[in-house]
Amino acid sequence: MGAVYEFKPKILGFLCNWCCYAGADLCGVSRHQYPANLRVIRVMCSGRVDLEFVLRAFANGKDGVFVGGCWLGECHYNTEGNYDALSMMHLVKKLLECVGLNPDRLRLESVSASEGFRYGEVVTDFTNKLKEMGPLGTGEGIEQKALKLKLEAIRKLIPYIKLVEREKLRVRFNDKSGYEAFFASDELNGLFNDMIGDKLAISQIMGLLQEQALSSGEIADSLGMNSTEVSKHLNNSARKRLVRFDENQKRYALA
Amino acid sequence: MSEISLQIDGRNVVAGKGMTVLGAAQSAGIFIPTLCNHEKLKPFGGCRLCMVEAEAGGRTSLVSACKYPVQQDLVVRTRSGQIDNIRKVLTEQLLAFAPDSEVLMELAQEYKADKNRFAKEPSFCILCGLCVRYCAEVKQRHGVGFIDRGASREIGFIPEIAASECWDCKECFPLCPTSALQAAFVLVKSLTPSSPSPS
Repeated sequence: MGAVYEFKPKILGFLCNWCCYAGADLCGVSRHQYPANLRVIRVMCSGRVDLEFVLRAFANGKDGVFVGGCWLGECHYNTEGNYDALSMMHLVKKLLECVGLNPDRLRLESVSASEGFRYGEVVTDFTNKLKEMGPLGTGEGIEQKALKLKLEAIRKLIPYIKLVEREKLRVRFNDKSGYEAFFASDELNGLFNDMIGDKLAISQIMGLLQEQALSSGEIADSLGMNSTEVSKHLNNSARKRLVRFDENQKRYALA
Repeated sequence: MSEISLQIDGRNVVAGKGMTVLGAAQSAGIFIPTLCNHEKLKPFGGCRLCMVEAEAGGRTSLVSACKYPVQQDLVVRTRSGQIDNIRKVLTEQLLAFAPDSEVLMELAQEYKADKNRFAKEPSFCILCGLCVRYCAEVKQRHGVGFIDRGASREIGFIPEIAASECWDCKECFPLCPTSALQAAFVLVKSLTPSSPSPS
């Protein structure tokens, strides 16, 4: 019998101390079986999970990130952190989508302390979905080097993204559908592309140019972007003195 | 004669030659709203919130108080239906950029401005120019400047100056009525090559 390679997704889970962690505990105590691909970090509230945590997990080779919190309206703190977690989750999904990664690699679920059985089911389902998606990067057809660059590009922008989120994207709705509608609206997509999408593209270009000078065509090829878009970003960054055009080499280089 | 007397909101005010209406009003303790004016900087006339009615020689005109020089026997009115309306619309337009700015929210309350009247803008810089002018006029470092003009005008830090000068100064940060300046700074910092983020 030959050894058949089976992809085992590596998943990192952030579980809220009061609901989901207790749920996971109940699941274990009740001896309910579920795949052992998930490594758990206990947090006091799902609202504690920062953009950076999720992106760092992906940058360190996790194939999926799971965030488990209380049901809406049942957060154990006055600040109602699970609403913040919900909007963080939508923001990260948009960022992942922006660089060509599957947004479903991040999953947020509400699991109460009494739902041990459901916790097992959710983890099984997420693991199976990730198995279908394949390893991070490879599943999306992105090379490891490009993947590293893309994740680094997002992580560098986090301080900026947080300020934008504070000024423009901080919303509070009563239910999940409110958040879904807000983050899917055309108004938000337009704002998101102008405020974050363009900067993210520039951040990736800057990362690429750090190694060597490149022409706009080469940049477009390695990032899988449209060459008009790349030229637009290069012009824009040249005006801001982030890049310069090297006349001799006919290539763009860092300023 | 270097002293000029004028009337602001029915009060007689004495001002020096070369002062602006806004300066005269402030010295007399009369409040005129403004976002782009700063005592250490030259008048800019960017926000237009200091719009007042000035009556001289039987003619009334709408002028921006921060740029308009005082004249003998000028009659200034800082509040009227028309002025309030102008300030209301200006505030609404600025709120499309920075809906959470505290100074703008105060103005919105005063002039009953609706922050959802205009479609949201992607930038949250209101282009008051305080940071740009402070860096140029007071610090003389020119680390932050305007890029482009018209509708696509924005502020931006010059990467090489920002890298060497800004960290120890940051005197422009508290001047910004929104957090756009801070965002522009962290943006340029994260885009310029430096050490990679922690793993």
